[in-house]
Amino acid sequence: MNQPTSIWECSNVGKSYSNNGFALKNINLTINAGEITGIVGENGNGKTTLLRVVAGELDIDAGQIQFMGSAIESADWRSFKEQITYIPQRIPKWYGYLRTNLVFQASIHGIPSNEIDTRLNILLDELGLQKYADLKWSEISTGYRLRFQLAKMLIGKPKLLVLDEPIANLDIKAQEKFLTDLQRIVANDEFQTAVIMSSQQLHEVESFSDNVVFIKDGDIKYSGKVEDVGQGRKENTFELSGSMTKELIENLFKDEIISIQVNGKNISVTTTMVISGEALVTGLLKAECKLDYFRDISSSTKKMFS
Amino acid sequence: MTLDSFIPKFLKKLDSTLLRKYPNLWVTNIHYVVFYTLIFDSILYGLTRLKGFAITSETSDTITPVSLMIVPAILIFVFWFIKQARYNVDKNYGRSNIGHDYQNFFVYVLSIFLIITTVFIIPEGLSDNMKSAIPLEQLESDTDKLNKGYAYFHREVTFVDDEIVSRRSPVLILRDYYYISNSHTFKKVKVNREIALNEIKDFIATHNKYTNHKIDLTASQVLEKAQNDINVRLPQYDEFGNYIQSVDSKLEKMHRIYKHREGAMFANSDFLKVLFGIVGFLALATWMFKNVHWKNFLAAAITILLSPLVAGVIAIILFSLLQFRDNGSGSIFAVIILLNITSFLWFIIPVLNKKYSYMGVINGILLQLWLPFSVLFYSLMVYETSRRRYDYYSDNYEEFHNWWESYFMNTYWIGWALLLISIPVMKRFYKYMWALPKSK
Repeated sequence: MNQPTSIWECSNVGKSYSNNGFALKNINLTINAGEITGIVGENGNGKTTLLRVVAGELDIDAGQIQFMGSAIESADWRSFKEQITYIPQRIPKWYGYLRTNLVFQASIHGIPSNEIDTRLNILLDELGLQKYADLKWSEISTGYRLRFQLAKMLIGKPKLLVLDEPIANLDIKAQEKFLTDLQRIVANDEFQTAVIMSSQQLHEVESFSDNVVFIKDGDIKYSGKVEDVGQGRKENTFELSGSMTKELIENLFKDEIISIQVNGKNISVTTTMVISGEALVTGLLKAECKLDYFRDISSSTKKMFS
Repeated sequence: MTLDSFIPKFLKKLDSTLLRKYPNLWVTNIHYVVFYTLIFDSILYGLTRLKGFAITSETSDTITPVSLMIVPAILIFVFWFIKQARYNVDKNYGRSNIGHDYQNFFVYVLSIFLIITTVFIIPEGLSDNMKSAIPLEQLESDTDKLNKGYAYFHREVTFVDDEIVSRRSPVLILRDYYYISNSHTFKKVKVNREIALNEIKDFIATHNKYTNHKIDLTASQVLEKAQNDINVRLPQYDEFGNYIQSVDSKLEKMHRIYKHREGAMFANSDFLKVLFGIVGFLALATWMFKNVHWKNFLAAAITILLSPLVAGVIAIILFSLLQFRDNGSGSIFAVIILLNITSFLWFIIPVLNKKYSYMGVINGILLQLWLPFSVLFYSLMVYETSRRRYDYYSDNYEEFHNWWESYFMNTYWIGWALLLISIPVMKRFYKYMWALPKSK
């Protein structure tokens, strides 16, 4: 198996804000080509700050940053940024027709005039945007705006896509469509792109990312492969809701229960490693409980939020 | 129906070609500016020409149309200026070089000039109306007739036997100065009664040609009154009801008509120099607007508006509180130099530190805008200081005037040269600053 190519990496990066005392501490992170890295964490814990550092939007106080294997010196920032695309939470409004904006982007990036339309049409077809391209910004939904922004950014074939909460305002279907598009883009050899994105939608991020970074109080608490989350753990954690009660679960699984928390209709159950997800569900069904929702978060970063 | 429906097909095609092949030019909207200003100018010019020029009832007023058109022209300029913010090659890390910057600067010059033409197109049409209404020979001949007859209406004649001596201006100096009472131009002329009567007749006919307030006296009646040293009562109100010496009013009108023969404003080289100075400044401001963040630009614009106040405060501190010796204009220039040095330091320190600086960019803008004007300011200081040494009425004054004209022209072109040199220098700075990470 080939070793992944590092696109962006940093070591011991620190950034502090004097006005509110918040600081990113000692950040070490590597972003590889052909991979999606998801950043998760509660609001105000430094996700956007970290993404802005990655995108070269925010200066750092300490540490080193490397892009494509070379340290970024001040004079290189422009060539660095030519290869990086940052899509902030609030996408700036486009003026005029969407197609005009895309043609402009293609034109300023040196695509020959006789190839622009062909190449744009391929991209628009791939992203399912063809029939909306002759509309204006105000005439399309938030989901399509995001995808048009993505299309615009892909025209320049960036090495790194930095996306801040891209799916925050999308419905479930649009989220899945967008994330599927992203997966296809990073898998495409033509682009050779790496993606780093932040999100509150843990399940979706974990489903579509190769790597996940959990950040808390400006500190990276976990950074690694999604499938490695929870490895070496000593307990399992499940979320469920339905007709069962806390007492019933305690009675059913007795000594294997470590803790049970009730949050409204949801119950969070932490057990020893003896109880698997299947065992918990089977036990509850045998006890004739109605199960509305179940999720095994033993291998999810969600556990880290508590 | 959208605005697009009003764009002709050929213009849409041109737009599409520019967008795909010359995006750096496309962003300036020059094709739209050229097309629509020419259409707008043509309509205004055509309507003005259709209206014609009635020499009996109109004066060659240019102030009113200029005042009327300034507001729409400013609105067009603001609309165009804001449109410039929409698409940007450099800010999107697209391909451009310094040639594109010069190209765009001169395109801005052309665009702003074309927008300004909308203000002056009506006076231009009026001028052409006058030009075609009165041939030059007719105008000169009429002026001559008014000059010759002027004395009979203003008790400037004496009667010696059969001869009449009138003190008159031999030639009305149309080109530079219409006013007849300049004593240098007067001389005494002897004529007989018959010639005098003809001159008065010609005067009355000419006068009445240029006004609705006719003189209804005969030539003999005028001569008789002149002989008896009685004021001839001429219609003493101009076309707008203002009290005015009637003859002077006609001469002034004719002088204006004459001046308009050369073209309203665009044939006046001094006017063009000032106009292109303003256009150059606005084009530079537009170029900067395209190269910096709008917040930097806005802050710099506010600073410029406040700079006279800042200069005043500094001057008070230096010359009043700290008791520095005030030597007039030199002191003002010293304050300006001081402000420029401060701006330069504020601008250069972040470059040396390789750190983005919001204030650094603002001071870069200030320096770039001020530098060409500093030269102009300096030259005005020189003018003020030198002028005091010359007597306005002395022969040396003309020498001084000629020297000043050539000195000022040198300054003007140095200002332009500095402006053009600043484009590649500051481009590097703005590009560098745009890409640097921000501190927050």
